[in-house]
Amino acid sequence: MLRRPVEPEGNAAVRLTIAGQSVTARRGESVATAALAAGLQATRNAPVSGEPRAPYCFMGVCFECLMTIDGQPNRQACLVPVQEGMTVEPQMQRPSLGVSGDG
Amino acid sequence: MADSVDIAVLGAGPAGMAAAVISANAGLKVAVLDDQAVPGGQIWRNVEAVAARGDLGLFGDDYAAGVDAVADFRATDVDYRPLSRVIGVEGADIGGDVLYVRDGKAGRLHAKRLIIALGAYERPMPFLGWTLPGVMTAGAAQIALKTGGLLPKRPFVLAGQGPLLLLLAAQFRAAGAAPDVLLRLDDPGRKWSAGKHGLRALAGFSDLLKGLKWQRALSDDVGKTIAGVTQLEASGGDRLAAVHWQTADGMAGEAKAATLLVHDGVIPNAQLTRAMRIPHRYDAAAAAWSPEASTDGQLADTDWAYVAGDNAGILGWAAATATGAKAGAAAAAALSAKAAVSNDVDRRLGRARAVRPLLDALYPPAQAFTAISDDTVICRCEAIKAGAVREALAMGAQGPNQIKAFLRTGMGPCQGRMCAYTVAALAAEAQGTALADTDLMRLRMPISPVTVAEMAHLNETDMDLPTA
Repeated sequence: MLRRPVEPEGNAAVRLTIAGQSVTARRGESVATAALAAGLQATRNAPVSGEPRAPYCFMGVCFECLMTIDGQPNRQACLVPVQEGMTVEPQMQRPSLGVSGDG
Repeated sequence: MADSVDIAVLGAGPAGMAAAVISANAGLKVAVLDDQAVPGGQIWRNVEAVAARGDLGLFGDDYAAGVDAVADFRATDVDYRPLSRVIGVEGADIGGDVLYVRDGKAGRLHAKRLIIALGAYERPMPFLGWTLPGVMTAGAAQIALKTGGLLPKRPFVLAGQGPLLLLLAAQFRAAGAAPDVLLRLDDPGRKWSAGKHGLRALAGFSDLLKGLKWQRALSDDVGKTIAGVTQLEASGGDRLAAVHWQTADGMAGEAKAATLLVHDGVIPNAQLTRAMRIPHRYDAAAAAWSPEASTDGQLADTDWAYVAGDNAGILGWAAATATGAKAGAAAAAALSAKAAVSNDVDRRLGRARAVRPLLDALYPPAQAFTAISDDTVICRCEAIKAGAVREALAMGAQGPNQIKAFLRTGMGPCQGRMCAYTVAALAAEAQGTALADTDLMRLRMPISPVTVAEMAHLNETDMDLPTA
């Protein structure tokens, strides 16, 4: 897991909401690194096995960082730079089509 | 009107930027597509911002070299398109089209010539527990350090092999986060057998000195170093709690861990060239597949596409700037533009090639001498274990493509990026064949998942389409 030794300040600071928590990230970093630095243990549950997963590569290869960003699911959070006011949710539910009767 | 350029370059790392600079300076219309927000690729990730915040010193001279390279690239009139994800390429008689997604919309860019410089990524290293949160690649943590200024939480274990592992350890140490435990998965016996490449490698003397410096830095601050590790396991419930290991001489050990970073060398990112059906060759010394290409980088069986940098085979950033320039010049020449290639290019390339046999011999993949247990997940997307693959092979699956049909290995969102090499290795193991005679699983475009809403923008239309 990752820690943030120095809180970004001034122009370097970007405020966003991750898993309902207001966090400060550094301009230029990705949503995925910001999520781990904010203390999130897992960014999603694996859709097949249900196990918790977290980013493995941070460079668009492993697809373990799929998160819901500003309402859009399955975005590669490591390829999305943090932006002021963003809302980010981990994907802990098994995927469903969200229609009635869908199990 | 159709979006059209003379040369499309994919990737804004050392090779892509060099290719773009040389062909733009030859007077051609050049576009560069890259999935990052700023130029530099992985080696020079975020280098402009790191220089601005005064942190260049953490990463060493090779990283600092990126400052000038990015500035040279920015100084051109190249049509640079960051945050653009390439999903495919369609060849045509005169040039072809690049299909990509940017800002929630798929686009089609026509180019007379294409230069593919999509770099490399870390060789996936499957072992028991590698899917636990808290386990990531050493390169991933380096990206987090370069972009967010983040450090691994302690206790911190670093495990793996290769020259990059030593560099990363030195960088974390400089940032004040030396590993508590370093597990070296390189085979100590290799040092002697690699000796025969030593004389040739002297041509790359300064690279060798760099390696010695990193080695020395390592011995200073690391809590504990264990050499000759052949078995690695991560354990925990919902996240990493401990790392366990075993050495070649039978010594077992374990350590509590909040972070485990692993590294087993790098392999070319050949997803696009493979999906294009370019023939690929297995290079046994590098233990990796790379696309077949001419010395200028022109891809086999195409008349418009080139490959450059580590995408063509791992040689490092200095060589990537050289192969990028060569591919850029060749593509420009094919369009009757005259590019000025510096005399330095072949010297840089020669130096990188001289050191490579020694590095390859010293640092074969750890997987070459560690066995993957049946319980190890090898396809992370579909949560498929090595045992299931071995079972499919025992039942008569003929190779990676049939294993995919049986089990869905490679059919999740990463499209085999994480499991293709392992599946091929398990197939070769079961069939008693050499990896060179085993094909990787077949890839198809799009090479990255794309939504229907994104795709809807591909056809030119007057309709106002949704962007989400």
